[in-house]
Amino acid sequence: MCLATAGVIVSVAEGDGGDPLWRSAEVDFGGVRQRVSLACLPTASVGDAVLVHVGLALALVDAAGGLP
Amino acid sequence: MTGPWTLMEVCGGQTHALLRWGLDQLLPADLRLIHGPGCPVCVTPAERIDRALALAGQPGVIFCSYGDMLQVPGSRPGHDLLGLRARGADVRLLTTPLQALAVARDHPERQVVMLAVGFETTAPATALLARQALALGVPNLSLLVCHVRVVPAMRLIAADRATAVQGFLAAGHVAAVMGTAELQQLVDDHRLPVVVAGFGPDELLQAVGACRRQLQRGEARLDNAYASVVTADGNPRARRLLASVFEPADVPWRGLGLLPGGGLRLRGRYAVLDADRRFGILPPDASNHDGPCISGRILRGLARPLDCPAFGSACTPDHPLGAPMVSDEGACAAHLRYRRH
Repeated sequence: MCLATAGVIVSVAEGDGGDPLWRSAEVDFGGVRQRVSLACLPTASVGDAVLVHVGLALALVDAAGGLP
Repeated sequence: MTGPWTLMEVCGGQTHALLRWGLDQLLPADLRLIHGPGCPVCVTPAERIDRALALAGQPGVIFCSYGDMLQVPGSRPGHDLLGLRARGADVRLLTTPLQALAVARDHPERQVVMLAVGFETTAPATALLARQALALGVPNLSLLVCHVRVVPAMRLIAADRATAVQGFLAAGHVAAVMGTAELQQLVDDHRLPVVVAGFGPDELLQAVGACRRQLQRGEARLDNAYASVVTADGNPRARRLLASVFEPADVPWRGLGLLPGGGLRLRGRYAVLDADRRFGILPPDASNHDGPCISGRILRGLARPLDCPAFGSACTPDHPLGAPMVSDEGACAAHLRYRRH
C-alpha cells in the first residue's frame, strides 16, 4: 500500500494564479508517463527525480546512486 | 552482546519485498524477522468494510477505492466490494484519490464516495483531494476515512510485555512524509533500536545489518538506512497539509483493538466531507468478529502465518478468511505466494 515509484519530471504545469494546490507535472516512470501533483514539492522542477505515491510527489530522490 | 535477535519489519511492502527476494533465508542464524501491522488493508476493521459495502450498495452512489480493498471481506464471509460490483454496484478502481474529483465533477447528479485507506504516506493525497474539493465547492464528493498512523501501533507493540520485538525496521515512505522526530521519541521512550528502511533488497539488508549492529553493541538509537529519500524533517508541506485536514483520533484496528491516536479523522470545515456524517446509515450487521482468523496475533508478531490451521487450506487469496491473506502486502499472502512453508 505504501509502495511508491520514482520517476523524472518531464514538464511542469503551474496552477491557476500560481496556487501550489494545483501545481502538477508530467513524470516519466521508465517510459510510462503520468500526471502527478506537485502540491507538496513546490520547488521540484524539470529533470528532478521524485518519489510518487498515489498520484502525489512526496520526496525528491537523491538520484546519485540511481533511482530506488 | 550476542543474539538471537528478533526484529520486526513494520511495513507490509517490506514484508512483501523480504519474502520476494528470499532475504529471510539469507539472514544469519541469530536473526529472526517478524512481520508487523503495516498493511492498512489488513488492519481496517470488518466494521469499516461493512460500512463501505453499505455505502457502495446505495442507489446512485459511485464508490471509489484502491484495488487493494476490493476483496477484503467484511463481517459476513464472502461479502466484498468486488462481489458487490459483480451484482451491479458502481464500484470504481482508482490509482490516485485525485481521480475521484474528476468523477464527482463528471457526475454532479450522483454521490461519489472515496474509500480513503492508508498510512501517513497515503493520507496527504487524501488531504489534497479534500482541499481541492472544498476549493472548487464540489458538493457530491465524500470520504470514508480509514487512515491509520503507524507510530502508535509500534508503541503498542513495544510496550506489550509478550512482545519478542527487540528492534524495528521503520517504514521508509511514512518517514519520507513524517520525518524522524516521532521515531526518535519512540527510541527514547522504549530504548530499542529503530532503523528507517527502504524497499529494495540492498536497502533492506543494509537496514537489518544496522539494526543488528546496534543490538550487538547494546545501543538503542535511530538510524536512517534510506537516506536517498528520507530526511529528518520529512516533507514539511505534506505534514502541514495533513494537519490542516486531519486530526489524530482513537480508532479500532483489526486484530489490535482500539488504538489511542491510531487513526485520523477530518477536522474543522473538512468534516463536511465525512461520508459517515453525510449518509448516516448503519450497516445491517455490525458484528465485529474475525472468525477463525488469527490476524490479531500475526499483526502483533506473536504468531506466524504457518501457525494458523486455515493457512493455505481453508484460507487462500481467492477465498480469504482474513485481511492478511487478501493484500499482496499481507504477511499470509506473501508467505503463500513465495511458498515459504
